[in-house]
Amino acid sequence: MDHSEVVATAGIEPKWSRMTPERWQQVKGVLEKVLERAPSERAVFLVQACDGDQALRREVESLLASDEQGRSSFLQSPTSLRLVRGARLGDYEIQSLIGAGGMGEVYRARDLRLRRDVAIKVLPAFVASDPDRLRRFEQEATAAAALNHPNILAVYQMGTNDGAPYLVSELLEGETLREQMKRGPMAARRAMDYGIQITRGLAVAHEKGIVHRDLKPENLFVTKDGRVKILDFGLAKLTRPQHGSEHSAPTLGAETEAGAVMGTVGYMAPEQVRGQAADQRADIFAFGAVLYEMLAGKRAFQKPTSPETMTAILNEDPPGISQVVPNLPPALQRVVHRCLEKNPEQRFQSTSDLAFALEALSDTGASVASRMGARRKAIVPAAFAVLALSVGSYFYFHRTSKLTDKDTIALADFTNTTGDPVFDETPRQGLSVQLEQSPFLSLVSEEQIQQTLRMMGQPSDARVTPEIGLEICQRTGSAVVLDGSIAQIGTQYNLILKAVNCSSGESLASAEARASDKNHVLDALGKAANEMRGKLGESLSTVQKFDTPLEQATTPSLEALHAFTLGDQSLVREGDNAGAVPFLQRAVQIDPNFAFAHIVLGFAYSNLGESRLAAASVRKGFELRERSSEWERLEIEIAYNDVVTGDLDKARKVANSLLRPIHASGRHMTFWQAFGTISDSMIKA
Amino acid sequence: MVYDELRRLARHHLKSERPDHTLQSTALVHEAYLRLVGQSSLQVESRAHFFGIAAGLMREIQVDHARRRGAAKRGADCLTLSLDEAVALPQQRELNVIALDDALNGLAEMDARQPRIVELRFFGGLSIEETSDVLEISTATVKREWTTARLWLQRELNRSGAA
Repeated sequence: MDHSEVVATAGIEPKWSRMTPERWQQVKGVLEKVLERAPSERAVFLVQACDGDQALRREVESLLASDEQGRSSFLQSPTSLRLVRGARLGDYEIQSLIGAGGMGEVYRARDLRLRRDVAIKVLPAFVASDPDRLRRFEQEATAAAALNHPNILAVYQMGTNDGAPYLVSELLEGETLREQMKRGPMAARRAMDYGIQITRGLAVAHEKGIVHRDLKPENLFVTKDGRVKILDFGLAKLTRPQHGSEHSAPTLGAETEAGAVMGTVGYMAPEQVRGQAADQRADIFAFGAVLYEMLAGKRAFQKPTSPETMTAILNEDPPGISQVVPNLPPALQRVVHRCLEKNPEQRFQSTSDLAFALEALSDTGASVASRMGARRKAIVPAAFAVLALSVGSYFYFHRTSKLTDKDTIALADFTNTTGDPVFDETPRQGLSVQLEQSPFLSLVSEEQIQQTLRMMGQPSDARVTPEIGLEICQRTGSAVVLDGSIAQIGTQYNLILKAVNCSSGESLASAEARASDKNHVLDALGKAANEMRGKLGESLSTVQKFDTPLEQATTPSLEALHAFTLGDQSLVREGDNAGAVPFLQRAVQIDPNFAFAHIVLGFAYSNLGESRLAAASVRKGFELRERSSEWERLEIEIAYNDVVTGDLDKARKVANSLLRPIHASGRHMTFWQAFGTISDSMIKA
Repeated sequence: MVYDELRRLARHHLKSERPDHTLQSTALVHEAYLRLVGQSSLQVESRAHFFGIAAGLMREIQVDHARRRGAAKRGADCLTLSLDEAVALPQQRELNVIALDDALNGLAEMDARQPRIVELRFFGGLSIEETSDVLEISTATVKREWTTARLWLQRELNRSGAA
């Protein structure tokens, strides 16, 4: 081809986005102001600054994003500040430039005194020229230096060189978590390993009152030997864009500040989006987003624009992680989603609790993971006329199931046409036990149920007929009411469960099971309950996984379960401890191996001030704990630590780390308050 | 003096030698010198003024060279020069000088000052302070203008696929 054609190819005339000089001045003005903000504040500021001018906002966003795409090095001019090999900074001899990209330049250097290699980050002069910023930088550097933990970048020293402050830290080799995640989602085991390391580091910082505020994959560094280091601790507040490229700089391989702007939005906690004060729970939220991303291979909150992302952070739950990664341990899924609760009160309250939960999951592998998953719900003896079951985001979403994330289910009383009073309450009790085994169902507090009944002008012991159940369902904003019936046909028993959408009245699913005789009713009930779990959208694999047969989960004896149900009801519903004791005594008399009945009996004794009897019952229950459903075991463990060994800290940790407060609060509090050993503040602590 | 300054500028441009870099430092300096002295109306009033002119020349030379090279290597990519002298950086980018030249012309239609700053900083290799001397504006202004110009140029080059 001829010469001119080649030239044309080489010198393509791109269509530059032109705007009027006036508009460009406006765009520049906003852009400059945004760049003056700390990365974590920029997105919010941008929305405010644009004041509804969407085109302006998009333009500025796209300019900010361009730096990220360009990986920061575009048009970086040489800098007179750059240090050459052999240059001395105090006791350190510069060896090479490692990177430039975040805030300053990072060099590899040799500590001549201690004979070790270190990293030195030289900060831009504009930091030094602003006394206020310099003071804050020193403050933060001091704080970071005080954090001595293997999962936090170790800061050795701070100094100044020709007016430019520098920071000496350990030298890391590896890559950021962002780099690593570009290769796709990682195995749950690795994600948990990283997660535990991150939470350990965070916990140490939080204990010292230092909040990172800008936790994200770019600030997490994975060394070659698999250790995770939290970077830029405490610098987050200080971080600002550099205005001159000669200072533009570098965190270890991270993107530039301007580029970080929009990237950060996805990890902000709702309270940060609102511009409210953020404490350690904001870090917990960000951690949840990071953990989600490690597992799912995509961001928890990612929309085309930052305002949309922020809106999502405020209002939307991320896609249930089980929809993205089907085979995760349910307890791990819950940890992730609990970190991402909108309300800080509903997240893990402390990073040590979070670390504890992750470590427990990791230590014991999947079997314990599943145990914990199931146990979480049973903090208080479970006997409820109506259960509102929260169907978490863990349900597989089926169009036909009509159940979506966060839908709840209200459980009505059984209709008993057998004439045998043992079937008045027992099937409902059995059903609740069986449904609670599902890692996807959580119970709301009995207090909330009673409150609703009171609002309806009903006595608290009112029988929850299907009609009342429907109303409770509507009043509590639940999606589904579940009711059942039991009938006798000859010597056989027939059980039917029905799930109804309480806003439309539409029937969603039904399940039926038949028992050949009275002794097989619990068995049949278990089967019907599992069928219902599947029809409501739970995956078959988890239904099978969490299917301790009812008679093993509680007691094989219908009579014992009946007695237990009456005692438990008296305790929970009426608060009648003295009235509950005879029923519970009868339950353990009929079935001496009924672990949970021993515990509840201990609970009643404790309320009555009979501490010796309480301890004896709880100890008995603890010994028998293998004979209980998995979720009951948690409660047994807590009770044991509380009333027998007195290890309240352990009890509290078990409880706090595994409970989702939204569901647990009422029951959880009741439990602890009833034992009278622990204050509200301790529970919240 | 002119020759020495030109050498310094050239060194700046060529510090990061690339295997396919055919524009030799000395050749660049010679060419710049010849163009400089070849301008009949040249009156260098100050060192700052000199840099302003030199930066423009450097831009011209590099763009010309890129075009010639593109023409010579039919169908091949345009000449790319590494603009990041941080040699070891893995994210080091190369830049299409011709596209940058074009984009700078586009920027000139929206803003009179920014293309000059970019020219001085990028093609002239001047520091913020030197740029502020040449243009007689504050260093703070240079930093701001440089930052926003850089973002705009980067975006445009990203969009055109030239970055």
